[in-house]
Amino acid sequence: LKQLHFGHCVVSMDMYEIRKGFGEIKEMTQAQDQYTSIRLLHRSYSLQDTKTEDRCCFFHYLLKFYLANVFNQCQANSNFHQRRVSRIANNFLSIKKELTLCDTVTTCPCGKEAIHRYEQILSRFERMESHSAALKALGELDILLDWIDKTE
Amino acid sequence: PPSGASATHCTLPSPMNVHFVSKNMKNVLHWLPPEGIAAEKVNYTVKYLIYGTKKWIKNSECKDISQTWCDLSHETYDHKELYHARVKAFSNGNCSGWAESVRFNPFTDTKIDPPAFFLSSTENSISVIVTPPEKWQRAPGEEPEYLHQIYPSLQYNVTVFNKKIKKRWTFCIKNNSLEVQQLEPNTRYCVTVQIYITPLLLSGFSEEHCIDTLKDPTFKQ
Repeated sequence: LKQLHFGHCVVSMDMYEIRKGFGEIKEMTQAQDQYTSIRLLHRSYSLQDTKTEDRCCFFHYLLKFYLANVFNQCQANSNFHQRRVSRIANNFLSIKKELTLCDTVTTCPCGKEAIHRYEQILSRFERMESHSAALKALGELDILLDWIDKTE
Repeated sequence: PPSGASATHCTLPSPMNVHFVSKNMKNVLHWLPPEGIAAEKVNYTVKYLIYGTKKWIKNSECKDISQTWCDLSHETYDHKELYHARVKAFSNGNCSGWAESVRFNPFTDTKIDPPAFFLSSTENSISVIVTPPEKWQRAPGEEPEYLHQIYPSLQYNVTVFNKKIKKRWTFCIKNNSLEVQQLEPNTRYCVTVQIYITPLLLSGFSEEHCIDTLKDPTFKQ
């Protein structure tokens, strides 16, 4: 389990479960993404390089982004794919609940940097056709997981 | 494209199974020749792209080559980026379409080599010092980048085995040294070490090295 500490709030993530599930659909998902010149989760907006006090909010935004805009948009062409996406989504949901229990208002103050970084990602996402954008974001899940792994 | 094949009209079958083989972030692109064509008659050209950018970049060392691999370690050195690569075949004035690799993420897609380590012993203990594994270096004199700097969660699984009594101990250590105490004097102990980062990113076990604890000077046999 990866533990993320945000002030007194500790959120645990089953990175193995998530990475294993994503690893099984990564190739087919990324192969469907024809827009290789666009990267949503750009390295300049990385979670680990975000100011410590803004990380919680930015992380919370990313969780909500994936739950609201990605997982349910990706109507998978196979049960195999759909089951894995659902499992990952359930993982994100429980993480988001854990974070919400931590009273996000005090634990997750949203500073300018968190808002700016999230808006940059969202604006790139919204500039794309919605299904292609959701597919790209799903294909970039390994980038998000790398960010989380690198966040001390 | 070479003479005879117009840029738009390539009819050769494409190379197959274009993929990266990566070890400690030494990233080499491999592929298979197009189906049904004698391998020795085919040459290849490779390009790569940094994911999120528009430009496919030529690799000067992999232009019109006959081998079916291309070392892109320099080009893909930055492990915070992700990459795509593609290969085109040429033969007898004809050419193929581009065959593309899946997206390559050096941070997660590399394989980790087992570490080297050094053993020493006293009467009742053995010391294991693991050589910190390094990322592939661009130039021999360059300051090495260690894997534990890239992967903060990196740790070592050390297994110590007493073959005489068939007893095995396993230790999980964060730094690269371990002293195992309260051992039998004048006894052989064999050690293997594994690098562990995540359940999906770990090395194989190293070769086994053995060492004898020293004789106990006070004990007359």
